[in-house]
Amino acid sequence: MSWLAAAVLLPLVLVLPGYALAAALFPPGTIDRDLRIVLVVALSICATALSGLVLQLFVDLSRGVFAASLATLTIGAALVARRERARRPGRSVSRGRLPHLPPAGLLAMVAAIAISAVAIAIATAGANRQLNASHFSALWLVPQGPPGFPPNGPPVIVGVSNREGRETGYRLSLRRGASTLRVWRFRLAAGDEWDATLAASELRGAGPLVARLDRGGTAHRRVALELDPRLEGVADE
Amino acid sequence: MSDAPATAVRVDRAKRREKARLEARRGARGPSLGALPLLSVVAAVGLLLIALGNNAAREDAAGATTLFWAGLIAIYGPIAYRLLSASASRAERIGLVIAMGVALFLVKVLYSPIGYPPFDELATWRQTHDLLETGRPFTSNPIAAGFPGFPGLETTTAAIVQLTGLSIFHAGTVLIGVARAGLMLALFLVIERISGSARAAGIGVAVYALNPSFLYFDSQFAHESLALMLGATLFLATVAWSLPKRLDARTSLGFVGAIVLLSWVVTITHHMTSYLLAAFFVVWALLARLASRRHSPANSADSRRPARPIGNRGRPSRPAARGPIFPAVLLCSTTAAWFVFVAGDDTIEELGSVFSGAIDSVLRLVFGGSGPKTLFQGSSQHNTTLARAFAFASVIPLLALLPFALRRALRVRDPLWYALAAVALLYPITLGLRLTLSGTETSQRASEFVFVGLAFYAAVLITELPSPSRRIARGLLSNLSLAGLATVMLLGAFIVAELPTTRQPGPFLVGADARSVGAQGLAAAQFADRHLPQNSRILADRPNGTLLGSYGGLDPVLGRIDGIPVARVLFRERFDRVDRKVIRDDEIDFVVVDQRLSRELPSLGFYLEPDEPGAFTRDEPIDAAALDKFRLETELNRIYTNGPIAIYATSGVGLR
Repeated sequence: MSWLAAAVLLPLVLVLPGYALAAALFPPGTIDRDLRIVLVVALSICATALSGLVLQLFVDLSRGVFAASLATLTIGAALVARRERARRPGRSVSRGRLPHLPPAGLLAMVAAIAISAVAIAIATAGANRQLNASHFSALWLVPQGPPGFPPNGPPVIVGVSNREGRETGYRLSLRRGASTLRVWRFRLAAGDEWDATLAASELRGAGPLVARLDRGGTAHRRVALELDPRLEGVADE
Repeated sequence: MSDAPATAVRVDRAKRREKARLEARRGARGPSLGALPLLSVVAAVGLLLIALGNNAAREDAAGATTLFWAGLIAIYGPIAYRLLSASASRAERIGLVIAMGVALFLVKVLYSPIGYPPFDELATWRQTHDLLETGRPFTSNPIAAGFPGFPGLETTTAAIVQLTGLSIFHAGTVLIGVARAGLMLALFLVIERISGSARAAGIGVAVYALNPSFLYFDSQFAHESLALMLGATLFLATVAWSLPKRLDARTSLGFVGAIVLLSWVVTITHHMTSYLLAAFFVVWALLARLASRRHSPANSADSRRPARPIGNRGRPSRPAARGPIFPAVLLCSTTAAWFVFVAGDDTIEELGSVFSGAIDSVLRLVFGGSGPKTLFQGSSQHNTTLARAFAFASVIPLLALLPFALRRALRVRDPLWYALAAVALLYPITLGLRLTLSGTETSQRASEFVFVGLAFYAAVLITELPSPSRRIARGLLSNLSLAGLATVMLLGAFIVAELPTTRQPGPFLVGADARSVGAQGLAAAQFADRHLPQNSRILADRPNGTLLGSYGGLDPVLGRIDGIPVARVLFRERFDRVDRKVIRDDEIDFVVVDQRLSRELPSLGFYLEPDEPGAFTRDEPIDAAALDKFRLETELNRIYTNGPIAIYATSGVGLR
């Protein structure tokens, strides 16, 4: 979902419930605007956290549950506020004047927000640059089947991840004991992953499974996996 | 006869009417925001300098720290100066404190703008993620034992994620940013109501920002950051309800409702905030009760004269029902109920280790057994002499303030002022904890509460300095000196709170929390999330364990099993029978080995946890042979490697 949509929906959680609650608790003119602003945010958080706490006793907290609970709370509190306002028709509403911001000041505030956004963008780019400066490849060999937890039997997933920052060619060999079971040759784009699942029938033999990843013609990574010895012989069936 | 005089009269009248019309328009306008727009731009430029400084730090380039300090000075100094002035309007002061608070919060965001490196934030991420996955808020958290019992932050963040589509990181950042703005406004309003001065309120908030935890610790995506804002709002609501002499019944009822809701949400959000706030309300209530008894008609020296309750300057007293007693009883009840029925075990496990460590350190310091911790120094890092001077400069003025604060409180003779003075007087105790090896964390957590009292009295005393309006130049110099001193204190407080290696991002370091998070660690966590069974138990150093325990969905294991520290598995040069016992008995499924641990000593003083063997006292890093042993051990399956990091499955241990 876009940032614009998020900006429109955010007040549903952080403003509206608290605004309605504050209006229900404090009819117009009973507290000043600054106190009301603080209470709006704090009571919105109250509404979300406390309603979630109560509802989780009965249902799992999901988007629908949050939406329904906050909407119900907001509408209920708004109705109470409206009734209170109707009961106090003569009460004057104290509306202090909003601070005055001349055009130059408004421009300065917009500039401040823009400069802050640029600062965040610069920091973000720097953080990403630092992460992307590390170049490496990863290799794994993970059993997926029983027995036990975590699993230690076939099928087995062998996989490679390219974090070299450029397209890279690999040679991957899988051996068991003295036998070479499979050899793959492939190229991966920067950031891509590759994997293959090997069933028990493809893992015949005895001894540990060893996967070796060659990059640029030289041995680069090695992983080894001894399947559960209680499964020896099961793979041959 | 010429018409010139009549014309001149008409022009005069027209000018006067125009002038009156303009003045009426000005009067009809709202209060001016004065220098707020300009100072907001200056603060934003400060953020820009910090972003550039952090990027330079990531590349170990020159000028990184200069840019960073310049940015902090640009954010804080000018705003502090303006808040000290007498000419700023109330609206401007409110805008300035919010701008200062949000800008200083963004300093933390600029440190890690794309994810959550530090420990607490990843623990909160894990808790929130599990809530989103399961729909349940009380799932166990292997990174931080105390987190499940206090779901306020995670529930609110999950709601934002679900309803807006933002990621946990972005939702959490927005929520804590909004909480920071709310905290600044709440503190301003509460100080204003107690002191009666908007100028004091602005100064007080600026002094509050000098607490060592303000910049990073209180800006992180963690329970305390949200709880501080909620607690400050509860305090504000209590003050707004308690202090006025007259309050109509409907409004009073509204405050009662707000206090009830806020008490519950603080209780379910953070233990320390609710406990300390409850303790404060109890102290305030006891002092108020003592004061009203001493000045009741029965105790009055002249029973014909009506008693004058302390602190209200002879005006009719407020009804006894409104005061700190109700919030004190309510908050004590909610925290006790939450402890007994929900979060007792989690709280004891988390706070128990923190406090027992602090008490143990104090006892050993006092009675021998360990020397004091070297101040302003990490396990392998040293602050420069200038940095140490700044650090001391952040402490001395606040200590010097205390006798004046006490004298001021004794003059006013108001229970709330006494209670705030008592809070301020805790400051030297929290400082003393910093001298101990394990007391620093307690000191850090306490500072954001103690500084409320310090900020209040600093504000009151500064506003009572000789009026600047009589000697304008001297007033300006005085405000400039105070703003300069406050800025030095801000930098010094930051030096106290953060080691040289944790102040800015930078190249990879061993055992340095945020500085130990890199591409390989994140890749390993991503692999674990996709390919390893969730909630598998792992043994790993702290940074990798935190990444794998959060983004990877695994459960890091710490502590001891049958009295044997699990950390020994990583430290010993041979994989022996005891290591096999640890792995079997503690049901460790995977061991994560980072070869880089043998490069250098850990910056924070430990590899896995603060009470591991050799923590804080090592003079050599882990032997490379100790980490290499896993590769040669046939019972361990090396199932993943990305270069420095390898993951070993332990499923073969004990089967041969």
